[in-house]
Amino acid sequence: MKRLPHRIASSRLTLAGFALLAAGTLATYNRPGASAAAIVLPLALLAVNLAAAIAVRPALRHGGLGLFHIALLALLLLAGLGRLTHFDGRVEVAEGGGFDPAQVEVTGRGPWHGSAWKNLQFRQGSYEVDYAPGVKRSHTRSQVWTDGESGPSLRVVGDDTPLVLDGYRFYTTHNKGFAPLLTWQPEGGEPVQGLINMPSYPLFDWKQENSWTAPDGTALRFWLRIERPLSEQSTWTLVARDMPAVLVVEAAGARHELRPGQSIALPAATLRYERLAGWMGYRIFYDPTLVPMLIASVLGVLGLGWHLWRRGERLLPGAQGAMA
Amino acid sequence: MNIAARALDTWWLYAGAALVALSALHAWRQLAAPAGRGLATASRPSWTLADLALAAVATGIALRWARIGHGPFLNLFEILASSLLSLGLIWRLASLRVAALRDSAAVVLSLLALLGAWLLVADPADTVLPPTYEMPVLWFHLAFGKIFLGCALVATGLAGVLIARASERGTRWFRRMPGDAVLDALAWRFMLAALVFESLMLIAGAVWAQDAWGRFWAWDPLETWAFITWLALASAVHTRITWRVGPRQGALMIAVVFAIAFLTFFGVPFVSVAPHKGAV
Repeated sequence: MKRLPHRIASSRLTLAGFALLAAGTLATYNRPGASAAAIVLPLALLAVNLAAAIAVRPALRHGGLGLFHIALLALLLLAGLGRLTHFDGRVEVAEGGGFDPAQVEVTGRGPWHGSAWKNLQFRQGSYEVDYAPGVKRSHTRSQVWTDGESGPSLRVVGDDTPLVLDGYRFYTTHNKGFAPLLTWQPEGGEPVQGLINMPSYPLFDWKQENSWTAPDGTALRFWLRIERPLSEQSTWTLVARDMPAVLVVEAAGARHELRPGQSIALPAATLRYERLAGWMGYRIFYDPTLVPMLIASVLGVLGLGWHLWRRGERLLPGAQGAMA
Repeated sequence: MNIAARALDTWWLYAGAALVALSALHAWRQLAAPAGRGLATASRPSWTLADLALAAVATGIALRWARIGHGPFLNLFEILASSLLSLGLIWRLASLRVAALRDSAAVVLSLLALLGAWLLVADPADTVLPPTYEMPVLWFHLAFGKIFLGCALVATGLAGVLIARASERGTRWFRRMPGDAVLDALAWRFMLAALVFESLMLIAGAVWAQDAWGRFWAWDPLETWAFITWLALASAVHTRITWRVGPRQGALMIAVVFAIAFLTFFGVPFVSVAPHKGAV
């Protein structure tokens, strides 16, 4: 029985684990549908191998080498825990509107992840996006309002400055666009106000269209005709509210062109185009192991560096005496 | 683009690449010189040419940086230029510290000449720095990566000598260098340093990626290959530590790891346009 831990701790098994992990990485490379087991199983094998090696070899428990191997084991375990508890998603939030959990598209979620994301709250303000020549996206500044103890507070978030709410990190993305604000006023009824999200801009600058069915069943189609040509040679800043645009509305077989503040009378209601606003697409990321993994990995490398610095020659059997 | 219309900085980089190739040729000529001729001064002319080459590349990078407003981080041309400089400098500094490395110049400069030749055919188009590249942690990521590859290059230079010594001609060419055991131990010291710096590169890269793209690891092409490189390096070091691997076999392992690292650094940016797929 005593031999079993030694067999599990075998260096040959370590190398086999490395080879399997490399093979699994290559097998799943660029294949989103590939099974995660190709990577998870070799990692689990290496974790067991490493745990056994630490248990049966005292040298792997002391000094820098010990710190390195224990940190490596912690890193493997944390990576596994992270996969069980992580959450990834994306959401579009319209200007003036609030974060709506029902609109979140969940792209990845660990089985141990709860539903705390459904309680998150923030309101979207306006945004600005800088562009370099060649329509290359540069800095994004998206205003969001969060509720604090002293009332709502304004935050400016971007691609590299996330909004962090209860550990959930919201990053702006290239996915954003225009959203005309409309008021639907039925005869004798309560007005309804809302935004129509147009496709991402400038990615789909040629296809700024969407449709909406009014509460009374009227089918409406919208096109946004941007009146400022896309600047490909110079720097510019995208600000939804400043973009000159005409909203073309097709209703009951007739076309209408509206500018902000204008309205059209339909058989049983009035449609008013209030102003041009925007919507912002966010990537949502949650992984509670993020900071512990960083600490473990830094400690591990420091341990390795410490060990190699002090005992480099002894580590190399063939080098003993050779470099003196 | 009209070749004559290229910016002055591009010509400096071309000159640097050509000088690296010349210094490699010179180093081989010195090695092949008959015993007693040229050996006493074998390394001096190569050093002068190599230093000139590095100065020309540094000048080209500085001029390009001043002209376009950011460092050489983005396209293949910039990565080749910055690597030519950083690898050359690391080898130069290591050679100043460890005299035994100087006679591996022919091998090291030949590898650098390969980068130089590639630079000559790479598209020198100007690039625009995405905001994700303006973060301070990127400097650490890049610096660790350069030091990692530099350490691997120095080890590969010694590995090349060990492999060449398998032949009679190679033994004659590299007769001035210390014995195989010494070179083997020296090469593996640099590989161990490479392991530390590649690990640091991956950590700094993960920190950068988290803030740049909202994820610390996403198996993009460069991340995947950097991880494969780490596995290959860790496997090689593990094999070397666990078993008594001979100098020649050890040299072959070093060469394989360097080949994978080379593919990661220069092959992946070549096929995926930007170093990281989500760069912009």
